[in-house]
Amino acid sequence: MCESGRVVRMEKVDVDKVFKEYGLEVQQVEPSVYKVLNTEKEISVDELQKDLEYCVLLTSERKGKKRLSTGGCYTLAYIYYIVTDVDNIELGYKYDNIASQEFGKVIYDSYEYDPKGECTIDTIYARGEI
Amino acid sequence: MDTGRSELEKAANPATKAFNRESYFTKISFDISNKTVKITAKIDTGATYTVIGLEHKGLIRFKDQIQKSSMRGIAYDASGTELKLYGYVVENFRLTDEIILDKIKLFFSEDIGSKALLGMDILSLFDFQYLKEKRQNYGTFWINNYDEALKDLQARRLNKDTDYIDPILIADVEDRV
Repeated sequence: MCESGRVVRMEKVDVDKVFKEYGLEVQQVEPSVYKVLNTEKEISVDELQKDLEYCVLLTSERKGKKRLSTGGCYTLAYIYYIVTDVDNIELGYKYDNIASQEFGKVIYDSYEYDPKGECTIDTIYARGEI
Repeated sequence: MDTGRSELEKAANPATKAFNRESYFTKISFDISNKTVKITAKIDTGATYTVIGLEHKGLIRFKDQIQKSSMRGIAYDASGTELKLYGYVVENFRLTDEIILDKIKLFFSEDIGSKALLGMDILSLFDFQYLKEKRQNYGTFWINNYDEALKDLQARRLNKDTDYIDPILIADVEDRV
């Protein structure tokens, strides 16, 4: 689906189901934008992002961490706004500004699921090294 | 008792949210124009420089101002492809819970998409260590004696009379004021 040259992702995820699973009380303020009403609830940001698959989360600074038995940590934070249209860059920035006015310090945290990202070889060489 | 030890916490793969033993991602954050952006960077001891991809959604709004920087560099990926680097001073660079650098120059590039690599330019400023947990299949990156390292960086910064840390140049500065 294309809109003004942008590719809008089909929403495969049942976002209402995800919000319910995380105990998030939300108000839809625009198509693809949800204001969280119970912002004092600590949420596992990474797990929420994984379940939403594509989103921009506007959150508080980290409030805690969830350490996994297999190594690694998930960040716990308060969620202020959830933007599910990640391709609409300006929408995420708009709500970053709105959230900043409302809550002060806000973290912009975007996520897009990419299965190709599982195994990559990433490195950087300086001039003369290669 | 952990005296002066700070953990580079392992984060989920930013593309899949999976955890693999073979890759080690960590969350960093920094401020540009009073906006805080959180990036999941891959710890890469094979990378000479720390480079942040300009196609990251949180950075696109700053792309123009970053690309106007006069601090430029060149690097190469593993296939020998040239990458254009733009140096830009960010604020409140959070490496770990205990290590926050108020101003540091980072490299940005649109040639690595939205990826981010934490390279040896920054890692080698610290005594960092990978410790494999006993009887476990995973390990943790630690930065030891970070207090000393931060004092050292501050002294070198004063000696060079700059108000930001340049990870490439700072190591060459005398640590005596």
